Amino acid sequence: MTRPPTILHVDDDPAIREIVRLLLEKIGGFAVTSVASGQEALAIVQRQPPDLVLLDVMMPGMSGPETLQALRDRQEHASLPVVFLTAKVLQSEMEQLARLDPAGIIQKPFRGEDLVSKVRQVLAGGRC
Amino acid sequence: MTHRRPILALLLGGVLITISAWRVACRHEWRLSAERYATLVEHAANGLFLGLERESAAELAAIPAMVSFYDCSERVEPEEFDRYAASMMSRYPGLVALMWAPAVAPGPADALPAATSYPVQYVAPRAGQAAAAGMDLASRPELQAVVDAAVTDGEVQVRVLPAFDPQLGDGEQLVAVAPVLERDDRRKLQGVVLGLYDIPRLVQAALTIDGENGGPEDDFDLLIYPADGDRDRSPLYRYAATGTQPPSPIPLSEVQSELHVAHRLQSIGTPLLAVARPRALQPPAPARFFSWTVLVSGLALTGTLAGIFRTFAVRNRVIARLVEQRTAELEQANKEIAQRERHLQSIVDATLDGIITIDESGRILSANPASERIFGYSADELVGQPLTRLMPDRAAAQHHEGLAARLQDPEAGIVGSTIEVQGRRRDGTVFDAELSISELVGEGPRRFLGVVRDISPRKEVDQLKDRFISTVSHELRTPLTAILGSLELLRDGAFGPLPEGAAHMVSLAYDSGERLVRLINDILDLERLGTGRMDLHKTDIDAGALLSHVAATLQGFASRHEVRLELDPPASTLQVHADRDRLVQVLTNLVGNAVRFSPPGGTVRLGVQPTAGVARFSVQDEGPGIPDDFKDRLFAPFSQADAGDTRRQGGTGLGLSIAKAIVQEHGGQIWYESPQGGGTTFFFDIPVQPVDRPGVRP
Repeated sequence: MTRPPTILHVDDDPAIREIVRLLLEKIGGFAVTSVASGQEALAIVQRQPPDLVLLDVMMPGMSGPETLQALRDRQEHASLPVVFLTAKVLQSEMEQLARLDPAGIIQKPFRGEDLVSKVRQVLAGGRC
Repeated sequence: MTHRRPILALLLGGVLITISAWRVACRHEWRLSAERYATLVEHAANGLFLGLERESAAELAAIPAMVSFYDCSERVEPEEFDRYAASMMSRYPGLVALMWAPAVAPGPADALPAATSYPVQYVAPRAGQAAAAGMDLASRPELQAVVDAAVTDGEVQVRVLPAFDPQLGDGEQLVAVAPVLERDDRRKLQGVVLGLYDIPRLVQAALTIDGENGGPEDDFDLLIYPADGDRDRSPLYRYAATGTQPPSPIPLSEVQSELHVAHRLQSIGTPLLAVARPRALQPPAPARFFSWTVLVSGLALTGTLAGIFRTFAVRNRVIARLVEQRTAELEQANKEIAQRERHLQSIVDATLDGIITIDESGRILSANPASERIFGYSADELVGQPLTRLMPDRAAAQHHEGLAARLQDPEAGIVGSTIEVQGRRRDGTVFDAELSISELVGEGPRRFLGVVRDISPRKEVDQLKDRFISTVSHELRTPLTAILGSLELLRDGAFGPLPEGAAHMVSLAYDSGERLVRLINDILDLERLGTGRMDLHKTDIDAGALLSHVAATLQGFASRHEVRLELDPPASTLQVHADRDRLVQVLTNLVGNAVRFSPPGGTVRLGVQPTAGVARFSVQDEGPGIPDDFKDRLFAPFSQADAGDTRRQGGTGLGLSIAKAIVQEHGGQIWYESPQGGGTTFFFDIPVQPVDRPGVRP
């Protein structure tokens, strides 16, 4: 039996954390770890790097882009695929995020099926 | 009026000069006339004098004739003398008396010294015999002198002497004396012959030689004076033509002061002075042709000059009035121009946008108060500076070289468009500005007008608005994500199958949640389209392929509504220049509507055809058509035919508004045809080539 892909979800909203975890586990069958902040995410990645990081953009303390930058700054995790999950809609904001060159950007709200298929796409080495 | 004075002066002067010239001319004419007259008079008088000379010479010939008579005769008897003398006197009318006086030498017996005596022996006519016979000529000194002169000279001597015998005439007479020598001894004096001539008769004979009046003598008074007498004495004789009054006996001096011609009678040895005085002392009035010519020409010249002067004066006055009028008009025009200029200046001064003019090289020529406020420099500081001084360093460096060239180059698109730039204030702060550059039309070197608007406040508002929308959107989407996720998990049986009623409720809740998401998205779109802040990423798109893509995407949706989608692709490849995602959004909206409003079993046809530079898309349905009372507000936001319909049809009421805004943003237009009896076709045009739309920010 192969080990399911591990996803690290970072979001300050506990409801979103729970829903995303359930969707990914129930629909996609992934192993999901949820944390509420960038610092925690960095600690987890340090300890036990996941296959993919789903990163909220607007978070108190360390924001999503800052967290991504921090990950990139660590040589060993520079290539870790990071997908932004964001409720932002403005074109300028999206362009700003795109400039950080994440593996993908998924807009909230999303269908569970879409989320799972996009995650799979990225895990398969693609972008979304 | 002042202009009349010079004309009057000219007239007066002209008339005065003319009159003076006229008078000079008159005098000249008179002088000429007088000279001519004098010449005429002289000629005529000389004619008279010639007659006088001839007659005098002829009459005086009587004396030598008597001398010859004595020379030829041995002895002259009294009868012989009388006879001969009578014949002489009858021949010569002036001769009134002849005398013979033998020379008697003083006898030796006389002791006293005595001179030769000349006792008159014969006298003719006989009437004078009594008075003169025996009279010794030498006894009268005046006669003695004549006799002596004649004897001494041996020639006839003539003198003017008073008549010495009333029997022999009165008044003053001519006395002619000639010596007679002895026949045998010519050295010895025999005697003297003496003739008395009556001056009036002599002159009369000379003047009436023709025996008639009408000769030149009729025009003259002839006055005879003793040649060497007192100039104040009266004339010896005054001649008057027949039937005329003799002239008054004026003295010689008086005559000489008038027009006259004097002549000494040569033929008788000049004892008489004949003076011819014309009856008409004044010369005849001259022909006044010259003076009148002078007068008339002078007056005419004066008149003409005055006329010309007046014409000029009038013209000058007209011109002066014109000039005055024009000057007034000009002043008025200047005033109006100044007013207009002030008006324009006040507009330029009052406007809130900065107005800056620059030359071809990008140097500032002028700046209005608003520019001073915006940039913090005074206009004086700005004029002459390059426009780049008002730009941040980076932009300035970029523009420094290129600005002039870009102003000149119509392709650069700087002139005639509005661009967003960054400005730099005096204190160094950088702000967002909108700059419209246009070329000023006029003479001379090219100039450009830049209108600068400080849009930093607007930018701030935009940013605030964006932040607000972003936040609202974010805050709405986050809970919606949780709601939709939860419902999806429930609906899909993540927690086991749901009772039938509950499953239905969950499904309803999920659909509503999705509609809420669409609504939020549509509102965002509409907001961005409405403010022109939606950026279109235009590329060349294959219209046919796009249509197929949309049909494929919506195939499932159509099937659920039991509606068939039919494609009506273009005959050949048709490309449009558009934002692909936005075009898909428009088509999806129109096809979605068409499907929703089609009855089960209906057909929706999608087509695109090239038409005059555009691609015309069409979406045709077999629905009920659009109600008449709804046609007006079909494209208005939140409008649906029936509010009750909304839920059933599942739209947000914003789709057509967004579609219209997107099409318009592409430079195209959207409309529909909904004939009576059902079925609606929506059309929209998208340009095939990129279009330049005014006001679009590059």
